[in-house]
Amino acid sequence: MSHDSFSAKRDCQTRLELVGDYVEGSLDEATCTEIEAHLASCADCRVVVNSFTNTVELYRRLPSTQLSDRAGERLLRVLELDSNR
Amino acid sequence: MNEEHLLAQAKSGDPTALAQLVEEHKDTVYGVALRMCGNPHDAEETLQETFLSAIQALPRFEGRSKLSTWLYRIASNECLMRRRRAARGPVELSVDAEDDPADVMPKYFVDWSYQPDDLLLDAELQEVMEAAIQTLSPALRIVFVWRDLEGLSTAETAEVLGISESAVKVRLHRARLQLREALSAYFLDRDNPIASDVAAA
Repeated sequence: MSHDSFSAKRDCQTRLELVGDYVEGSLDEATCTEIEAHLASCADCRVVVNSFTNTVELYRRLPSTQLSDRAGERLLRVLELDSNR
Repeated sequence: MNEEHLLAQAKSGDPTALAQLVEEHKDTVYGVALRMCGNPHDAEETLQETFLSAIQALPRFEGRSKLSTWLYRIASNECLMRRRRAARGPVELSVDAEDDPADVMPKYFVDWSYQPDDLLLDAELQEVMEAAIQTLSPALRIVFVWRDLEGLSTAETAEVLGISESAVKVRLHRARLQLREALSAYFLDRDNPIASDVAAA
């Protein structure tokens, strides 16, 4: 299936801008319904919405970074807040 | 020590109170610095510079914003100044081009048929995700990091970065779209090596 037509589809382009709000549930009901009607008939947009949702969820699961103990000690030393003052 | 008392003590230079503030916020500041700088060495320097500046300026903190917002603003400025020095050029946050969503058109239509929970966040995927963050422009990256990785609200992110909430939303959206493209390319390559070769041809 050619996806060259995606960028030519105005409907799809307009909806792309609303994907974030749609996924976060911050659109009004009427707009949601309209988007869902479009998704029912547009495989490309369905793929974009699904993978966009997955992207956001994956990044929320990315482990947070922790400063190492040694770097923490260096930080306190630089700030002159270490206990060996 | 309750928060108000802690702040008062920290403002007066009490080392115990200052150490507690550092302890409360160091991981967040480091996390942002690491994603903005791209390496632990520069991130650690940025972290140190952030807290040095903050401790120096703390006596003048008037409490018009939350302490964390104020601190994160200092951290963001340190990150962006460091990038400016590295790039030897200005790193603008308020560039109109970053706020124009028109040119982020999807190229990859890979259907990740997985539920996010089914996806094993293994070391390779984490590496890909971190590398993808590094491909974002500074203006998009810093919004994404504060909003989606550190969990600040739109309003807080706008306050930290000194940009409008509308700019935060647009840049977050663009960042997420770009990351979606990067991950889609990865999954296309991982799961369909033949198909990805054909797509590349």
